[in-house]
Amino acid sequence: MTATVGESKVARPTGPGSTGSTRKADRSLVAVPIIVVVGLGLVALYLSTRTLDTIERRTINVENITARLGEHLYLTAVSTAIVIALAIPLGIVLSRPALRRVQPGVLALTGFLQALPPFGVIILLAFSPLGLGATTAIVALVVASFLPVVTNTAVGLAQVDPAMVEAARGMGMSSRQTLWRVELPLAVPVMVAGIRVALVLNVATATLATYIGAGGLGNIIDGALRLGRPTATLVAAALVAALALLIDWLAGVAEYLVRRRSG
Amino acid sequence: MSDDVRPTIARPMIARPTIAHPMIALQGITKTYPGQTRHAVAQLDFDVPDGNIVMLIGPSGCGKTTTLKMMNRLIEPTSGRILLDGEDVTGVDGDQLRRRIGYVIQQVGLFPHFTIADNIAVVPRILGWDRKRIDTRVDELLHLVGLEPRDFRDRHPRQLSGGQQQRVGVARGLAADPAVMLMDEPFGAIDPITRDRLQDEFLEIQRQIAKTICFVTHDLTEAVKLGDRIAVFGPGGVLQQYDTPEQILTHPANDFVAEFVGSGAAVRRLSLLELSRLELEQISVDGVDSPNGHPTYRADAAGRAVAWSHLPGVSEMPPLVTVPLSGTVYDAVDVMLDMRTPLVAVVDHEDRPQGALRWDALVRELPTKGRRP
Amino acid sequence: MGFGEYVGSELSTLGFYAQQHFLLVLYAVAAASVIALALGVLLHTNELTPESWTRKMRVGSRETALLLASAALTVPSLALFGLLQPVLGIGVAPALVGLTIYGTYPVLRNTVAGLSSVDPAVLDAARGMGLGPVRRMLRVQLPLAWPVILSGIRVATLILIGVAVVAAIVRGPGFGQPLFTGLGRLGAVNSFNQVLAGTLGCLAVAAVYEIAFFAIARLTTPRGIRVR
Ligand SMILES: Nc1ncnc2c1ncn2[C@@H]1O[C@H](COP(=O)(O)OP(=O)(O)OP(=O)(O)O)[C@@H](O)[C@H]1O
Ligand SMILES: [Mg+2]
Repeated sequence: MTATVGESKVARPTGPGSTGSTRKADRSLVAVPIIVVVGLGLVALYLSTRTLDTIERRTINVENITARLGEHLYLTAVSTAIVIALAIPLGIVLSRPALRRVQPGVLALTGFLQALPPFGVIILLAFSPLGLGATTAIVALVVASFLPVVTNTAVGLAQVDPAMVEAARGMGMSSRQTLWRVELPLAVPVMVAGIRVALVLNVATATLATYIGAGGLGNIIDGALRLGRPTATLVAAALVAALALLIDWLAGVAEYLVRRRSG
Repeated sequence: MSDDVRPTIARPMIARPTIAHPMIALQGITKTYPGQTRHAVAQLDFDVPDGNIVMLIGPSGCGKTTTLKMMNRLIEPTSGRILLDGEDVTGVDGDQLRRRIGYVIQQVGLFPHFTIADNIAVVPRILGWDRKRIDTRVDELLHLVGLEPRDFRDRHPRQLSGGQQQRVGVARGLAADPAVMLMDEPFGAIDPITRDRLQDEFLEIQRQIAKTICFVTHDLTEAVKLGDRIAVFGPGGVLQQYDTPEQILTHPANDFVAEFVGSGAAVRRLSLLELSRLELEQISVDGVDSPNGHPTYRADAAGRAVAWSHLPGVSEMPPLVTVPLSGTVYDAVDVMLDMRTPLVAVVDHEDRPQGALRWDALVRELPTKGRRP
Repeated sequence: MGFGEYVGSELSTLGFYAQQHFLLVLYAVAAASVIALALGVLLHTNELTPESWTRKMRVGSRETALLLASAALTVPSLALFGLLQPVLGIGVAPALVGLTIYGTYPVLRNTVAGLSSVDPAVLDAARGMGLGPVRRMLRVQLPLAWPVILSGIRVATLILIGVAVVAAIVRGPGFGQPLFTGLGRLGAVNSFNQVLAGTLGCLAVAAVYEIAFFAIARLTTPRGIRVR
């Protein structure tokens, strides 16, 4: 799944857990860990009321879950890091005056490409020389969440009031100073909100990596689906969701710290 | 605050019922916004007489908008009663009430997705007027506020300048011809010349249709020019003085009002005084009377004054300048300064001289006729 | 067999998948939009809403709905369809329900944002002229929020086109079918062509939707608020 959440017309895109104003965002920073803990607790409680059959016990055990969780974390962490390192600068470059003219066209295209199914991308890459495995999965995940992050970065910068930029340039700030001191701080809320959604979806998309032998929590889900064991699906789904919420929470914390530092 | 409802200087151009009963009556109105400790408006008691223009004035944040919004129940008072034409409106349906009261809001607030014509037609449509009547009304109102209907009817608000939008806002408030109008700084964003013209037109309309109007302004000159009465608000929404413009300018109730009215009060007061109310110096046509007591002038065939022929105590004749009787002392002073002449001839509407006004008399004391006729 | 040749020989099947995919997304987006719009409108509050317990309830429900809808996005599609299967069986039903769940958040969020971004002065003026809450919503707020809401619906549509392929795990209709078949026969004849056709087919469906959205936006955006 990929999503461009920050459309140019979206007044104030908000990702999961981030609900716009700073005060509300602060509240969700407290709420999300509680939700995660309570949610996982409920799943554990449900498990404890059930006696697992042998097939279920083969997947729902500490070693297997830890191993799959580790793979899942690896896939998402590496792909997320690559996306952040590449897509955000590209989004910034796209919004520079020199490229302003092509920006609407590029954004329309990247928006349209969201419809590209990540599942299809993952499998297609398996046909490439990369073959099966974690590397292919990471490339596929990067491809899938790359465009939304570029789009949201560019859109966040584009919605900054031109009068502000003009005022900054008028005070004698260089174009670089304007970017760092005026445009980015003003664009951060919109940018981050969109980026957070893209990263959250990335965690969920990583479940599909199992189909090209890259492991992850998707492995448990796929097995459970084949064997008709919804309990295992539930456990794995809960773990993926918790992981996604935690990543979103971390992004929220980072955003909060940045915002507090920049006043 | 006086209990006398009639202003001491009534401008004769406004036809007003002799006994003005209160159209809007605020009784002990207090408003405290939720979560606020200070009152926005405190213990407000005042009546807006039928057919009068009441100007609300005061520093920013003193509760003028709040007071206005309580009159059409956009905001509910924390305590107190509001009577509209004798009826307690605290309980009636707010939307029905507001369709009967014209409202021009401070921020204009035109509907961006409607054309200008549609914006003006909102309330008439709700009231179920037929198309033709609405169309006629829209054109009439656009003319009234100085926007050519052919050019403006089908435009959208963002295609208008701020001042033009504000004028459409006024037209929209007037659309259903309400007997009561609440106007929150309707001329705020308009240039002085257009504003002056709109004010004149506003008074002209008011003379014909005599609505009851509450009008918020930040401009004392506007308040003095338009208002039958002025309500001066102070910090914390406390009414400092509610009186006629003349009383406010000549007898400020307290230091706050005195300060607010400021040093220009004496000059502003001149604009309240119409020449027709003055005991003018007698003048006559050259050669008719003995020239010794008062000034004489030469007249043309139609009886219009052409030049001074004799001025007691003056050797060099200044040019003869005339001011209409309907003008104010302020106009006369303006002309004297402008033409560098120590006196002006005051003429009636057919340009026949009625008397003279001298600079000296102005500075000494203005001789008024006492009671007005 | 080359890809072009494959498409040529399978044209009618691919056309059928495209039609299925298009309709599946259409129904899901329609359902998600109706739910999100209804929630957004019913739970809308602003400064003008009188302070009362219903207001508190609405604000609370709105925040909860947003949180739940956004949390739904964190559940992997594979698992969601899998969890719906015991309840709804296989085929169109779980596919439709799952996609509707995913589509709700973008529309809901933009409805809430769009409604609350309407200039308060405009609403104040509307109220000052005696427009009641229903008239205000229908004549003023919804038309003004519409471009934002529509762009939310567009985002939802594009997301759902991509997610819909996963629905094939529960025998959902659309381009997921050739994808899963190709995956199951990885390396066999035409497996690559099947996967490629399924993937590009999604883009084709998206192109149709993009054209439709462009036309709808032009036709339904009030002239006075159209960006030129
Ligand atoms: N919705 C509100 N909630 C809380 N306080 C408010 C609200 N509206 C106004 N106030 C406060 O009430 C006081 C009076 O406001 P009001 O808008 O009536 O002032 P005003 O006289 O119209 O000012 P201005 O001349 O600037 O328009 C101010 O101190 C303002 O901050
Ligand atoms: Mg005000």
